[in-house]
Amino acid sequence: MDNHDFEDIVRLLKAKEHNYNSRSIPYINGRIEIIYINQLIDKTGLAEFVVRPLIEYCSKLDNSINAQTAADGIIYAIECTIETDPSKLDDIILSGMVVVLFSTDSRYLVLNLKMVEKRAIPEPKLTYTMRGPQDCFTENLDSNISLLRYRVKDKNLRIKNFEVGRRTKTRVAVVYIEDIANESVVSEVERRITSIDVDGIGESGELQSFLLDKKHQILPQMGIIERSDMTFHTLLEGKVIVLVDGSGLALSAPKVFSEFFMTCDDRYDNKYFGMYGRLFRYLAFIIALTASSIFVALTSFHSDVLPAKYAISLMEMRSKVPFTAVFGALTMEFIVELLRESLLRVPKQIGPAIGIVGALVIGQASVSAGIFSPLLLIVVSTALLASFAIPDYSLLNTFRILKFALILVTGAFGFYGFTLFLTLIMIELVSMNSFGVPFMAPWAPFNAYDAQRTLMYNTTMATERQNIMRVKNKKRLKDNQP
Amino acid sequence: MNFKKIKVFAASLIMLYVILFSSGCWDALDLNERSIVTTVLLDYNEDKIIFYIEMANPDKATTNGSGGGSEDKYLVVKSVGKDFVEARNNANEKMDKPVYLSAVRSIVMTERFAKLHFIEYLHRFRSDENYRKKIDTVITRDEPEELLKITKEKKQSLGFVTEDIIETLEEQGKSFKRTTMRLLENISAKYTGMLIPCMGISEEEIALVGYSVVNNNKVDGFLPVEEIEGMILLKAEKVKTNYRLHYNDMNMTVKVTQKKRTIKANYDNEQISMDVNMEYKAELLYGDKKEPYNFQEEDAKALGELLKERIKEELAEAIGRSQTEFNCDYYQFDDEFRIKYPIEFDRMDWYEEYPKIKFNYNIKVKLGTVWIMDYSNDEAK
Repeated sequence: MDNHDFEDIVRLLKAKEHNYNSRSIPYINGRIEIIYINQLIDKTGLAEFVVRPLIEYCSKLDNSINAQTAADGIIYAIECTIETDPSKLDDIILSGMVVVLFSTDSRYLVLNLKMVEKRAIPEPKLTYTMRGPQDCFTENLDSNISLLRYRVKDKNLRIKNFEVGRRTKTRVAVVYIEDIANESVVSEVERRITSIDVDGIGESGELQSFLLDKKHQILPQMGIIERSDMTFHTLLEGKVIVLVDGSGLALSAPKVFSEFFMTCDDRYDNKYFGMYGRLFRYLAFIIALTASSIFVALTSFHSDVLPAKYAISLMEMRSKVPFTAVFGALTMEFIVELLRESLLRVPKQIGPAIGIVGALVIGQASVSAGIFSPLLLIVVSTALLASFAIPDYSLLNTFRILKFALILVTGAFGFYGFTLFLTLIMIELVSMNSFGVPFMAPWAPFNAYDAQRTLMYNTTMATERQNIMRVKNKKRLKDNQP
Repeated sequence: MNFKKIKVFAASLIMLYVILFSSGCWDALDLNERSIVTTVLLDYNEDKIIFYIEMANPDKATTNGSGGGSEDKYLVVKSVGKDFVEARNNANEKMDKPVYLSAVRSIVMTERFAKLHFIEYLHRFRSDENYRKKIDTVITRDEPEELLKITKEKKQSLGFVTEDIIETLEEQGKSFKRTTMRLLENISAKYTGMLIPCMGISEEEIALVGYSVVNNNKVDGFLPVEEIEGMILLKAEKVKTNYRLHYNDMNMTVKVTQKKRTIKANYDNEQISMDVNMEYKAELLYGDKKEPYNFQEEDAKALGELLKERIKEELAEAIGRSQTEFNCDYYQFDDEFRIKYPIEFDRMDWYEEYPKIKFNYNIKVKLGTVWIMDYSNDEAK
């Protein structure tokens, strides 16, 4: 960089529209320019480890200084590289690096003194646990990786960094254990990430939609992970984790249907309790999806299957209700969804108040006014409670939509429509795959070892990793363990 | 349009067609838009068929399922006609909603109705797919209005009361039930003899008062409830009964449970005989003397013999009565014979043969757990 270029570059970088910050350090034969963005760096570190040594050195200088000399003996920054391409300067500064330009050297220094505002390690909000660790991912990618590294001290742990978004240049990290993970899954995830060409990505959910097989896929094909301890379990199963800077939720792939019902407590608690909890969650899922539809079918079409006393009791409860069962069920479900949605959006202080109003309006007033039957209220409330038992909300969201469709079809065609619609859902489920792994595995296709592991898991029992993941190294547990 | 899109379009059309034209659900009504029938009571009087249709009264309940509205929990619609069709049409004219027949608990026929229209009604019942086929069917010798008056006063349903009484007695091993399904099977057989529970009024309560004998598809007799001990041993599913036996100047009450009941048919030299094999477990409950009694092995044996004789007598009397008084095989021994000797059965007239059948009784009684309470053999030891 000759003097003429240096002045042009500095003038361009100092232009007002950039809003870059700068500091000049003149010396006898030239000048040093330090360019950075105030909000992205550690200012104390910059003053202490860069500016101060440079001033002290320059005050005694009777000759010129270059980038190599500064990097080798003057600047104390841990990450310090020498670059030559002036066209990269903008990108480097925007990524939060500090650039040190020398009027007497065409090379320049890039210093990593990044420091952005971030939250402390939070407690889980989506996946509560009774006895598991409470640390969760934050929006800071480096913090998330540090949590991961803290738990997995394996030299085969691979963290590959990508940049997604032409304008946001969001950092994305693909994490896996090299000697376990299936190579084809890793390369497929990497291929899909590198092929993304979009102006910006803000959250892992946005990235997830680019990684799906089909654009209009309603069912989730990737898992979301909030808790760092679940990440290492996932890595040890041979899966790939995707972390996105700015997102507190990691993505995992492949993910099969049965895994949406697992919680970390299943691993930590007694295996029988884990199995009980898992079976209970399957049942809760079925109730959440079908309870209202079954009510509609029994009330409107197939009351013959009810014992006589229940039939009479049902008739009595509905004797003053002006609406048909299907209309009542749809309206009730709509109100419940309304409550759920409003509780998500309002400040925490108002939440309980909305809950009370909702319970009073739906629970008492509507029944007293004869708008809904008490049984419908019980059914919808039970379905709502059951839906809370499903650990992964991404699966629940899908089935919240499908539930309405199921009620409509059942309202039109009774159990015939009910069965038909469930069959269609089942066809979709068995046709799907997540990064090459059948979505309904290990049930379809059936694998006895994986099925047993799906139902009852315990670290001492799981001698091998799941067959469906087709990992490189299947062995988990050494033989002859006590 | 490419081939894949055509396939999807065709599949959607087929699915829509199937959904719209094969479901037949468009005219479905919610349960509260129908009249839930709990009992059908059938009578025949003055050459007219009379239907009493008892229905749950929705106005009885408020929306929370209790109280309010009219006093009667069940409503009864009466309709009269010269035949079933006319009687039913008359009933329909009195009802504001379509009937819902899947909740019918009992079908009650008056004896005079059953004597004339038993078969016709069962056939009519079979053709109506809205009924459940396993409905308790009973006969009554009382006036329908009287039965309904009692249930109305007690705010009960005749159908539910009938079903509950019969099921409770059956569970206790003191009765058996006859569902319409079973009756339809029976009337399809070549020879028809059967017993149907008979409900009536006993001390101003609805009660099981006996069994009606159906011979050759007609009601032909009645066994009062006081005379059915032997019959219960032959017909009830889980026989449990108590006997009071006189032994050594003492009256002892013994609980008897039937463990095994097999009937074996024999046909030698054109003579039919039946082996009635019964096994019972008996348990001494108590006696009527204050002084302790040293019950020995030989006492248990003697008491067992007494019990055996008593059971044998009851069985012989019950079967003998069917052979001589009613001349009707209402215990359905013909099933046993027909299964073993189908060709011979086809050739013979069972009505003629049944009274001539010789019965052999092989009764086994195991009197166990006799060393209880006051009557132990501890002193003897």
